[in-house]
Amino acid sequence: MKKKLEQIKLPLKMLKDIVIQLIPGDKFLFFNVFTRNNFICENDTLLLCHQLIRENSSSGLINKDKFKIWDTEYFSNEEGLVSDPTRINWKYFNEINYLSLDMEQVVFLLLRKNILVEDIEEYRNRFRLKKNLFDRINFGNFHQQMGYHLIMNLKINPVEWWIKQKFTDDYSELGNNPYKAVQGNFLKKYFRENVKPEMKIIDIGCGTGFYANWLTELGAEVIGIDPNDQYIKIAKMKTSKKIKYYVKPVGKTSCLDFLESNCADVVFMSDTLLFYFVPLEPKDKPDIKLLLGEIHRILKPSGRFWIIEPHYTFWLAPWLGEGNQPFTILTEYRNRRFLVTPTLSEFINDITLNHFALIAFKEIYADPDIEISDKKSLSFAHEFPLWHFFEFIPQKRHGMTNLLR
Amino acid sequence: MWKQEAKDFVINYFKNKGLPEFDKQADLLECEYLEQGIIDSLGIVELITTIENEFSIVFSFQDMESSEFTTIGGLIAIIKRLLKEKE
Repeated sequence: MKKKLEQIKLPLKMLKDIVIQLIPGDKFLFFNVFTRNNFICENDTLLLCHQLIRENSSSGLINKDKFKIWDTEYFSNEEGLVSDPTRINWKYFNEINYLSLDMEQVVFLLLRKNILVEDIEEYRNRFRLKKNLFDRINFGNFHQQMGYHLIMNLKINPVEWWIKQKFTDDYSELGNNPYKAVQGNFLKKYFRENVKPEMKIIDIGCGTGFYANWLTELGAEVIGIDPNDQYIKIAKMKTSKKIKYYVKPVGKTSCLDFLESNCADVVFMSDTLLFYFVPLEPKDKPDIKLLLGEIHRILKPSGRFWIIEPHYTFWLAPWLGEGNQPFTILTEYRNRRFLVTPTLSEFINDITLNHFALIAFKEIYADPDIEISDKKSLSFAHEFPLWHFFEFIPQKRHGMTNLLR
Repeated sequence: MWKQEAKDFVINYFKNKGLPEFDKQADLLECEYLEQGIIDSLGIVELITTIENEFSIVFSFQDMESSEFTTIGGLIAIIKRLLKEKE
């Protein structure tokens, strides 16, 4: 049953999680940096907020029947996994149309958008994983929020949506977004410089085979492996017939059993390993140790393990500021409630503890010469790396514990 | 008549997904189908599109956000309401 204004526990509590920005036209943008709730308002809403954190009863509040509110909030990642993750609809900064709300409606908007709260501890306790799709109390991590939005708001199957993020509709090209300007641009050059004809390359988590195809075009002998049979079906239709594809439950027992030991010059993984640290389904965590053990086994002693991953710090960080001086706000690093990636040290340590040595690490920025339609993404990606690349080599297994731990 | 059709359709749908037998109908209607693992999150999309197509209705965001939507009985009640609104 919906609460009434008289039932709200006043005074409300102010959160330090809120950023307020001046907007032309005597307006203010309110932004909760953790939940990314936001809206634009005028001075009267600002005054109401001050009253709400001071007054003990609603009788002392501004009694106005028309507060102008521009609801700028939307789930911006529905436009893509590497779209602006800020959830602010920037076009509203020049928008004429607004909502006309009475005081009570504004109070409930402030509560709904976590600008002011009745109980700070209760609010803080909501920063937990969602128990299931219908859990509206806990905020959940990014994947859960994404899944919720796709299923409940857009009624879209997330599996079908996910694969379309990187590519054009026919899977022949990278999409006109940072996948092309940042990831694709880097890998194109890196592969050209480092892939030799007849190299045997295993692409684990190959998806629809786009990069496997690039590697084949450079003369490599490529095997593509993915747990998703729909992706492999597309890969077989759309890419070189020279590539051998297998549907295997990567990270589960015996997934790479069919490959001989010391057979691969390179194992390549793109945008895949994050799921081994923060799985899509919390109860379904693949075994990273098992996977790394298998990769170690199939690599030649002189082999290479190439990994490209969304940047564990800057992917999903909000895109703020403008022009050639963007900025961001980090709301977590060590304790990941929203982010779905490990920290850099967790990632590197887990791999090196499984008998690999890191020999190269690159943070990848947008190429200034590449044109894509999303100018804001280019601006952010010129300053903040959206991907990072790692090159590991297999180490001999010793009987002793790694002394460098 | 469509009230009974809606009820039968929804219950049969979940039975095909492995809904166990209940001693009392009241318990069946209170079954939280996602919480109980009758379907998973991805199954919600199929559930929504199947029901919308079958009855030519559209679930609003408010319908899907309601606590009613989480139980078999609640889902049936929402369908009945939407069908009544169509009349």
